[in-house]
Amino acid sequence: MSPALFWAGFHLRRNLGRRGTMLWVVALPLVAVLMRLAFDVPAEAVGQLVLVYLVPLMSLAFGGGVLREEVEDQTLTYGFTRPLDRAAIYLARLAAAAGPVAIATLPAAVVAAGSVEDGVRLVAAAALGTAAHTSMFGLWGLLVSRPTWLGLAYVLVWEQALQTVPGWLSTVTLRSHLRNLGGLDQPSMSSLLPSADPGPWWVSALVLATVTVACVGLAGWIVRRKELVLTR
Amino acid sequence: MSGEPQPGIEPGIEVAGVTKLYGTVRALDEIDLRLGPGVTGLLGPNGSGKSTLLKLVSGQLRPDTGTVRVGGLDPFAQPEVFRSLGLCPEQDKFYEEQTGESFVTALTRLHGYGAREARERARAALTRVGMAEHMGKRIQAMSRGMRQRTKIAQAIAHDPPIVLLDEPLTGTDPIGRADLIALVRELGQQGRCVVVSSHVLHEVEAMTHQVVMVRYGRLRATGDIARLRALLDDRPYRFRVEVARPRALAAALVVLPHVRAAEVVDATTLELTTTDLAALCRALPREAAALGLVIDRLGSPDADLESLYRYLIERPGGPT
Repeated sequence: MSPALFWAGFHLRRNLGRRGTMLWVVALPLVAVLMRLAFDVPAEAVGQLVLVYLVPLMSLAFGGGVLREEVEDQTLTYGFTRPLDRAAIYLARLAAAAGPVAIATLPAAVVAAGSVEDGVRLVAAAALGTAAHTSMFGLWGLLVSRPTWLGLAYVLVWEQALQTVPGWLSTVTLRSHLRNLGGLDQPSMSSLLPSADPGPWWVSALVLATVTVACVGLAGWIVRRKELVLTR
Repeated sequence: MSGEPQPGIEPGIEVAGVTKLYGTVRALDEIDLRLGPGVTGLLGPNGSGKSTLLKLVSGQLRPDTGTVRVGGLDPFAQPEVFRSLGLCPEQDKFYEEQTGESFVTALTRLHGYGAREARERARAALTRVGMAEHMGKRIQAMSRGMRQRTKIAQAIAHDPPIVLLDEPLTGTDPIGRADLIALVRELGQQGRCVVVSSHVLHEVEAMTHQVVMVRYGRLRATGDIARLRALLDDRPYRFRVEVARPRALAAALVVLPHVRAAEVVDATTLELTTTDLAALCRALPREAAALGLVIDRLGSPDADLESLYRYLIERPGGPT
């Protein structure tokens, strides 16, 4: 096993060992099951909840602190003084952060599905959505000291505001591509002013994958050059 | 652990013209340094720049000007340098939920060792630092001394020819301290380049004779500690005595050849300056008894290390 893969597994186990993480991992699929079976909530609504809100917010909670937590804890020194590219260390920590999000949201996406085809599309959207959001918030965590506030504003204000804007502007949000890939309805202000169609599903898959690669690449470039050690 | 340095890069640290700024504060100022095999003590008061220097050498920071090379490699840009370098950081920070063994094993695996070899190396390193019986204990339940030893174990588990130890004796008990001092000496005798930072002179003295002294971010003295000791022997030493009639005691003591000055500070306090502390300690009770005086209190404003640094570093023609 490569050292970076080992490091990802080591931190994934640490993340999953935390009580708060386990709560998310167990509770989220359970809530989805309850919504579908006990309260008869439509599959579409559960899918929207999982993809549009839970994937981004959980990605923010786990991804925003990818290295910042270790910088604050001053444990980053241990990983950064090993014969491994810092970008590989970052990627390993990012994977460890995305792990709990995927473990919690993928079963919830399965529960939300009304059919096998829907299930495949929702799971793919949840997986790619987790990758895109975690890497984006991970990058923000390297650039700003309080990525959580910025991330909350992005998810709950920016994307929320843009999603109903008529025309192409609504397609610049990640959630429009998550909905498109997951086969969910796009919201609109009225039937006279429908939101723009992001295109076929593979365009959305490509957009989410591109965001992931771009954010990981830029973060790796920053990590190689930036001093991340506290000097107090 | 084999106990011998691995073949790899040449043990050696080169710091050339290095300046490091924290905002407008000059943490290090034009430092030039070359260190080879053996133990070198990095001495300086708190905030003098020791840890910054070690962070630069261990690639955690990048110099603003100048170059740092470890075995010919740039530690900030070339992570392969860490195959030959082990660092025991100053901060008492860990992955607290891990055991000593799992912590050191995990970090050793990052050097590319398989699970079994990493575990064997971790156990050997922990045994070497005296943690054989406690390696299964969770770090959060360890004493400060055990945590310190665990930190040292992760620095030496991959047998690096260059070892940086930032304040390694902090929190250790006297027996543990003696063991770690012996370990550091042994690492140096094996031909490794070992740098130990400390603000405690006698701790460093127990490990090595080679010292580098830093203050206000500048390199103030390098060389053999015996030379620094010789300077200490000549140092004027102030001694404060509280006694009922300081003027009478001053008159009796000021005639002694080693007493340079006797100043009556107030109605009950006398400050003496001597070049021979031992002689003054012999003379003081004798002269006080002859005058029928009882010494209420003795003390020295020069007893702290800070004043020693000040003397060594700021005296005209100080050591370089």
